[in-house]
Amino acid sequence: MVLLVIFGLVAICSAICVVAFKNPIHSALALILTFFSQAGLFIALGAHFVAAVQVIVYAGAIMVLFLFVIMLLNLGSLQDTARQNISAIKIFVLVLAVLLAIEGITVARYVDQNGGVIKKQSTDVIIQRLKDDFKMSDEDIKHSVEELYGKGTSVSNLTSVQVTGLVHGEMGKTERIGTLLFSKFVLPFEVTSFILIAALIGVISIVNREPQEAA
Amino acid sequence: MLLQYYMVLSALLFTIGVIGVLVRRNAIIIFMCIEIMLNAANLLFVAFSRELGDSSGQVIVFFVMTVAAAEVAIGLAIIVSVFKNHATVNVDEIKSMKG
Repeated sequence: MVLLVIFGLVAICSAICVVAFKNPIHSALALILTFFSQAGLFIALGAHFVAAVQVIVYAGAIMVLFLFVIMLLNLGSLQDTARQNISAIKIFVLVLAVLLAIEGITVARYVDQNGGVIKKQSTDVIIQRLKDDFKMSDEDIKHSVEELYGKGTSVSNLTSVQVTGLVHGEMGKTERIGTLLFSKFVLPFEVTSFILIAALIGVISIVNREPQEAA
Repeated sequence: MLLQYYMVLSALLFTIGVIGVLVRRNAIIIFMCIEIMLNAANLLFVAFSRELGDSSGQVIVFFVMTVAAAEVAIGLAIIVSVFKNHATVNVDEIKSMKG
């Protein structure tokens, strides 16, 4: 909870800084801070693999690309002819209201008030699901329970809160993501390789043109 | 209770991204605000994945990040190419295709 508040506030402040700074390099640095706080939010949600990928891909590759382009184009502090006819406050309130309305309807209709789908199921059902879907053996489950809750905790006597914590811990592990990636999501995985090749070919073909005279 | 906080946070980040796209006139900064919007969506995916106990949300985030990386590469190549032809990245001044 405290992680959510800290990283959430940093994310919002740095996102506002991205929009507000004049110098594009300052905006890029603020965006890097946004990405790092986003990774912190992912860790607060227990998604450790996704947090690592966020830092590597977004803050490590995409932002480097941005900074290279900004420095190659040598922009400096541009005078933005912005904020002329647009009232940012009105747009902000309108878009935020629409999004929160949609999310509020979703929460009211589909999410259980006691806290979600996991808590509604009984312990045995959840342990069985850990064995089937997550492909955990009995020793794996026992090992994870002992890691989380200390030695001597028996698997059959877990409270619902403890079982929920167990599922949350197992959910974000890299083995789980890898298993899903190659079993349930193998088609999107292969299509992603096509997307990357298309991006590669597109970039090379765009960059290799001769500059034309401006009309 | 925690899920609602994450949803509000994601909505806030998304609207800040929208404001950035509409208000700023520099093409690269518009691009950065699009990345903020994508990150807000990723956050929502992971929050719901935790809520429902299904790791599929995190795998989808993996794919979204891949697509975002490809899109940034191509978009920046386009911006560099436009800069070569027009000598500016201010989207108000790039209107040679305007009818």
